[in-house]
This record gives sequence, C-alpha cells and structure tokens, in this order.
Amino acid sequence: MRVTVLITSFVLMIASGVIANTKGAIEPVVRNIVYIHVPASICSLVCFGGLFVFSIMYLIKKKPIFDYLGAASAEVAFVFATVLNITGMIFAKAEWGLWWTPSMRLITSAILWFLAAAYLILRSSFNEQGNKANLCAVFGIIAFVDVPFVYISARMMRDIHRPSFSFDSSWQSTALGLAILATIMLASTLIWMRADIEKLNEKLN
Amino acid sequence: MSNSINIIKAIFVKDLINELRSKQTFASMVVLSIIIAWIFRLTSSVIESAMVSIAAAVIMVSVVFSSILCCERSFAVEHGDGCMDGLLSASADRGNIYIGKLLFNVTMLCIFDCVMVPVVCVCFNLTPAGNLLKLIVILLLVNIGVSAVGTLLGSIVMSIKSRSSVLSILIMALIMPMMIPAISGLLMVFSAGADSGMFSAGQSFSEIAGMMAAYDAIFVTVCWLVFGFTVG
Repeated sequence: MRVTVLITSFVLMIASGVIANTKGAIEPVVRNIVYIHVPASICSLVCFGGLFVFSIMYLIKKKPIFDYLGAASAEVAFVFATVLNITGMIFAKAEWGLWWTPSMRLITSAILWFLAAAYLILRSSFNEQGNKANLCAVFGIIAFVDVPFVYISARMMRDIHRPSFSFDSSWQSTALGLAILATIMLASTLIWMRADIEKLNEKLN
Repeated sequence: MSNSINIIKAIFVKDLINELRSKQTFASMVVLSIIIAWIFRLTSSVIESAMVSIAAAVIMVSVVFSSILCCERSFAVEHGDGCMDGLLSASADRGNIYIGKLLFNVTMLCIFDCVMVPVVCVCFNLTPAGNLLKLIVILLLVNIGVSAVGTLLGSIVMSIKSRSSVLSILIMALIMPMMIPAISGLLMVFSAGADSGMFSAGQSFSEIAGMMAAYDAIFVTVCWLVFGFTVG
C-alpha cells in the first residue's frame, strides 16, 4: 500500500514537472520555483494540522500510536518548512536582490520552521520516557494554536511578497495542482513510515 | 469558587514570600536586564538615528530573558524535595496551580518592568511621559502573554536536565506573534506615532492592544486547559 502511494506520488511529480517544463513554463524562469515552494508551504501547514489532531487524540485516548504519528508529523513539517524557506530565499534573492527581509509571509514561514524545530528539540531532550508523550502532545497543541497568530501579527509588517499567483494558462494551474497532490501523498507516506520506525524504536528500548 | 480563590492565593503568596526571602530570581532578572541595556547602548553609539528602535528591542529582549529566568525558577523550586508532589496530593485543582503560578510570574515581571524601563529610558535618553499609559498597557499585555506561555513551558521542561536552554528555545519560538505587535506598540510610544520603518503604516494603538489582548486571552485559556497533563 505504502509503496503504491509512494510510486503514485513520484509519477504525479514527474507529470507535474513535464507539464511545467513544456506547456506550463512561467516567465522569467526563476518563478518556476513556485511548483516546489507552494506545495511545500501547503504541506508544512497540513503536517502542523496533523500534529495538532494527533496530539489531542493522544491526550484523549492515551494510545502510543497517536504519539508516534504526532512526532512523525512534526518531523515531516520540519522538512517541508525547511524546503519552503530555502526555496523562498532562493526566489527572494533572484527577484528582490536579498535573501531575507522582515516581511509578512517570510516571517510566518520562518516561525513555522522555529516551531517545528522547537518541538523536535523538546522531544529529543527527555532522558527517560516518563511523561514525555504527554508533554510533547501539550507542546504540539500550543504550537498549532500559535500558527494563526503568527499569520495575523505578521500582517502588521510591510509585505514584499506577491499577494497571489496569477497563471496565464490552465496548464500552469494543472501542474501546480498535481505538484500539491503529489507532495501531500509523499508527506502522508513519510508520516506513516516514520511513525512505524518510532514504534519499532520504542519496542527496542 | 471561594476554594479555588483560596488555593490560587495560597500558591501566589507562598511563591512571593519565597522570593522575598531569597530575592535570587529578581536580582538575576534586574542585573541581566541592566547588562543587556548597557551592551546595546555601547554597540548602538555608532547608529544614533536608530536609538528608538534599539530601545524597543532592548525592552523586549530584557522581558523575554527575564521571563525565562522567572518561569524556570518558579517550577524549579517545586521540583526539589518533592514539593510538586505535595502540591498535587493536597487535592488542589491543576488549573488553580497554573493560575497561582501565572499570577506570581506576572507580578514578578511587572515589578521588574518598574526597574528596567527607567534604566532603558536613561540609557537611551527617552521620555515616554506623554504616552505613559500606553506604555503600561503594552508592558502589562506582554507580561501576561509571556507568563502564560512561560508558566506552562516551565512545567513541561521540569524533568529535563538541560531545561534552561530548552525553555529558552520553546518560549522564544512561541511568543513571536506577541513580539511583533509589542515592538510596533513600543515604537509608537517612544517615537510618538512616527512611521516606524518595517511596520506597515496606519496601525492604531487599539488594533495593536487588541491583537495582544486576544493572544493573552487565548493562550491563558489553552494553557490553563492543558496544564493538568504536564504535571501528571
């Protein structure tokens, strides 16, 4: 099942790449980074949502699987937030001539990365199991509650970012849609696999 | 209801008496903030034009670092000698323990502000006299928000060996949404509403205070609800 989802996501990614390279190319060429940047941003938010849901589920049901899924969601959120920030910085340098500046969406994506990193640091800091799962679940919940505030407060800053994307053809929208779908499938599989590894680690310990 | 108030009052008074006897946390907070102000003043002597922005940053940095000291200490004293087990076995509601600790941390930060803000004003030659009420509102809202998050995180990191460093990372990551309107408000207070660079123009003080009050209300409620899970 996992292999099938993984292969399907790669096929969709290749299809998205082919369409983006042929009929869906955006001018100037640097703007084609949108096909990686936007899916990464949506995926990191979805993974944060996953962390929130699994944390609440763990606190209610106390089943270890929700703790493993929460931890896996945070790790995958961290990976996609890293991709989001790096692709954003590459685009910013090419488009605006600077790597980073205090601007609404740039701050929001940076804080997403900080929150995911803070969760992973907290998780790796416990010497013994004890109350670890409970404490990480509590942090997962308040980290997610923080996200809308990050976005609202960042609106107080001047925004250098493009307000929205306007595509010239439906091929471009199709390529982006496929890229988003493929990335979400990839993220789900990664969470699934990472949760299994976490479960095996617990068994070994 | 009156039982809850009694428990909150007992925890608050216990922590306050503890601190009045040792004065350990408050002394560290004040000395740290004076050192921060001093270092920033020395390094900012080359950029006199940015004095107001730097002073706002110094106030925020001082409050954040002092809150880390305060929140960590407020739970560290309970961790030793099984005090926390005593508190829990005294059939006190977990939420009341959180509110008692939160009130203590907010009080400590308010007293700390009374010392730190004049020091920063003297160092950076600022006169917020015309906007004193606005300054008090912003600092109070910052203290409540930082303490709400800090008190919960203080109990989360209690069982970690390197808790100081982990607590610093967790608090700073979570209070970013509070820092942005707070710095914007402080710039408004110190520069009497002048345009403040990177912040978008046309913000009113009520908008900034409203945003901070919403952050405080939501985080106090969420942290109060989940605190019980952190102390077992």
